[in-house]
Amino acid sequence: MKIIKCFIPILLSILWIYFLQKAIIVGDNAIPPLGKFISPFTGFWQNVRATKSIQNTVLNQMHKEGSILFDDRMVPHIFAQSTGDAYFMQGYVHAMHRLWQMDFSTRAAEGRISEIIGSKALNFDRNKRRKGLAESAKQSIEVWKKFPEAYKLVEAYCDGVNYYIQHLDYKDLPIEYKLMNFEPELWTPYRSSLFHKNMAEVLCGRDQDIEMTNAKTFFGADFDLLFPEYDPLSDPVIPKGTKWDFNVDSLINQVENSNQDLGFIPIQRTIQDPGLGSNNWAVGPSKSVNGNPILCNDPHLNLSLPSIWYEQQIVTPDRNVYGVTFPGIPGVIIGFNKDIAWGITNGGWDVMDWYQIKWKDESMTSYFYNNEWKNTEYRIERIKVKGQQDVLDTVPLTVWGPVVYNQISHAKYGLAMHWIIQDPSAYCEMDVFDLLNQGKNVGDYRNAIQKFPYPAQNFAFISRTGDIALTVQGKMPIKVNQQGRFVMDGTKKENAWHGFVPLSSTPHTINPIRGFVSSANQKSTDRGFPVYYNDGDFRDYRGTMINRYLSEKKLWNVDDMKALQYNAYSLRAETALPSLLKYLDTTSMNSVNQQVYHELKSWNYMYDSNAVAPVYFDLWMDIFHRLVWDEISQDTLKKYTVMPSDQTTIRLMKENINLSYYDIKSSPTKESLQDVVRISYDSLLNQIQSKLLFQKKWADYKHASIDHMARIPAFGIPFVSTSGSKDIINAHARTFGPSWRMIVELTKDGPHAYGIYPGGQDGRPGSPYYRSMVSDWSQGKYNSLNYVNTIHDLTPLITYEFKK
Amino acid sequence: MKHSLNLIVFVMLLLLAGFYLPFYWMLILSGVAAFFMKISLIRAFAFGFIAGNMVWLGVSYFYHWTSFSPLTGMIGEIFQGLSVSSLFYITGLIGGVTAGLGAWSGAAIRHLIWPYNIKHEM
Repeated sequence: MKIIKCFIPILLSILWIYFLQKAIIVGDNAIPPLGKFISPFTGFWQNVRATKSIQNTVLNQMHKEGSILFDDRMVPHIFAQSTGDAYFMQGYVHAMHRLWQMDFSTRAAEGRISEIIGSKALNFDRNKRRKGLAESAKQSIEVWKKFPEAYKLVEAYCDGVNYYIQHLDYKDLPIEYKLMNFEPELWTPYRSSLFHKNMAEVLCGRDQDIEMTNAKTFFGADFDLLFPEYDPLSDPVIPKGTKWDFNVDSLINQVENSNQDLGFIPIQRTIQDPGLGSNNWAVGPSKSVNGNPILCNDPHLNLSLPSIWYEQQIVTPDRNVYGVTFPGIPGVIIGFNKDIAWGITNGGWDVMDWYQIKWKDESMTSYFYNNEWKNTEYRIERIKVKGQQDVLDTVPLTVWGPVVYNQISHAKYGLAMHWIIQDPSAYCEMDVFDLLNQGKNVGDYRNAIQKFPYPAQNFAFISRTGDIALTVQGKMPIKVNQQGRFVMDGTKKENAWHGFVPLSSTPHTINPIRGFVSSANQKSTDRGFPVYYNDGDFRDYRGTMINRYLSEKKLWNVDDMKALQYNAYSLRAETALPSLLKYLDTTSMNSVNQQVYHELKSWNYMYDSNAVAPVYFDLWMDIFHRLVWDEISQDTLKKYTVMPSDQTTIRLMKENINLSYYDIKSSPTKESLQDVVRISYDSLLNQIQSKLLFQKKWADYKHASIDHMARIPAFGIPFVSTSGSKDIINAHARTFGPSWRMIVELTKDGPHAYGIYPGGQDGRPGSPYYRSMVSDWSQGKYNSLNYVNTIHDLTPLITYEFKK
Repeated sequence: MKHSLNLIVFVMLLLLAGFYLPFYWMLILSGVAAFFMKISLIRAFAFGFIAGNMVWLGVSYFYHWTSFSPLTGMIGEIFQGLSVSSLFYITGLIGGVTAGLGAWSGAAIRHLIWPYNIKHEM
């Protein structure tokens, strides 16, 4: 009996500890081991405590000397004696504020999320691995090693990250690690490269090959009218009429394009919502109130917490640079020093092409290429899955690239992909921003960015001496006309890219006569550029509006630029709405109808947060668009092809009022354009009443949010009230928008700069600096950027000293 | 007086364990403490529970109220919308049960070796 009395509490104790030590699976979610998670000495209470533990710190590091001064917005100003030391400290602060973000995003690029959250991420991981992001990162590292000086700087950055990681206990881990029950890994150059590949996938990992192939088959002779590559109204990045001093005829030997005979491909379309992108522009002294050049940039990305950007200043004997950085790689990505400023937007070239493979049989072990059967090669991927056995995935490899989808039911089944990241770079990409950061003039700028391979970017530039420039920089594949716009025949060798445009010859303009440069993801050039290229799914409204404003107003100052970045004027509405309204019969309208009509009629085309007309207009355009293209909005077809853009639809509505497509197929009568406008308007009124949208404000209808990177609702912001929409300069859609707004005026006294992003410096939820800038950002306000010349010019909130 | 002393011993040991050792050491140290105390099984559990509860609740309360961090509320939201006070109760409960079980086990081992006389209890 005594033994039993003794045994019971011991047994209960063992069971209790076992229970507290084990993660508990509830449905699709895992509750972390409760013991260490709840303990106030190690668990989430330590993260609660850490949000206020701000103090000056001295770190004894064997080889580094310098200081990090954090200002009142928690922006680190790094003062170091060498670039290596500065990058070490940059790695350290990136890890201090953004470790989980860096770690998780690069594991995602590598296809390793199943290790953390289990089998529900298996398809995600498989897709990343099949696309070859990790393979490409490994290739890049081998190239980087050929540039020892640059590679050493990347290693210094990694050392800084790792110095922070190595001094962490469980109790110090960011809360996401505790919730997901995993631990950080040491940082390596490979992981910095993975970050770059991840951005490449975001910015140049899209295509419309299948959609265009099917649309061409479906629309036949009308295809060129409905899917024009150059819209007559568009205003390209490089001013129209620019002359080019090279040609590529000798490189491509007049190869005939042979991609037009594949017919309809019954594969589901995969494209994303168009209309979003980024803006940058710059005015030279002749268009500036103060005679100083001004540069503006707002890259539009998926908005998340922690934010993708991190603000920072780096001061060493050879540079004093300020701007935003990517946690995960060294240097300043968008920013300025006392001599130059630069900003970037996405180029949008199509650098991901798909090839239809003629397989010998379903086993996919051999395929026909260049008049012979070739054996398929394979790459085996071992995917670790939390709580389960490893999963092996076999990736078939062709001369074109990997077969990304091998499930019969999947989109793009059996097609091979050729993507720019499969072609090794000739340079260390990290060197690009290191050189830009210390640049002094337009020559340094051109020299630095010519090493940038992908994703192709529009680099806008100003210098204190008054130069302005814009370069569309990246590896541009040389293609024959229409090549890569459709799925290509993978049996023909000649369907390969024909090399690349020399990196020094990509489209660029320096000090154009008009006195400004700009880009908003529109077409890079007019038709005169010597090389054929197609681009993705961006539209031209923003670019056209920016150029219109910059042309119309003679002189600009910083306040004007702030207003322009937050401008919510819709060129789409301006071009479409009068043409729609004129077809309505206004004689027999009821009260609601009259009010809706009045709102639309009197609308100033501004997507302001409190306006109601944008709600009506967006809904109406959507209904109208679907009715016009009802031929392909039938269920069987809409899965496989794509409708003409609404930019094209609006142009046709004005220029071609007798188009046969206005007829609604499902109705027995023959409809005209006027009928479609009226029917869509009636449908709009019905939806306004049935969905309770009458007098609904735009911000409430849009219902923008900023989600946490791992979609943990408590760490996100469920509603942000702000103006803007896709296709307008303030391109803020529901979860996507200006991820960093920056304006820099380079004066003789030094740079005057302003900036803000929708997040906060400290990526740890609960920190006062976690989302401290969101409110100001949503109202179009800016922070004055604290660019200092010496360590004594700053009164820091806290200081970190690195001592040998 | 003796009981207060016992409780103080428990609290000190648990604070020590909390700051320097993995959480399960509070169970082991509670057991060791109870082993050297001439107390009944019920009292052992009660001392352990109260001390564990006080230490975990007190420390978590201190961190929360000195930081005013919104993180506590966020954590509650993640766990089915638990309130901040519920998080305190759960923290205190887990700390208390862990230390209580340890003390109970320690006292039970002692009683197995040296049979317990009810008269010892004051």
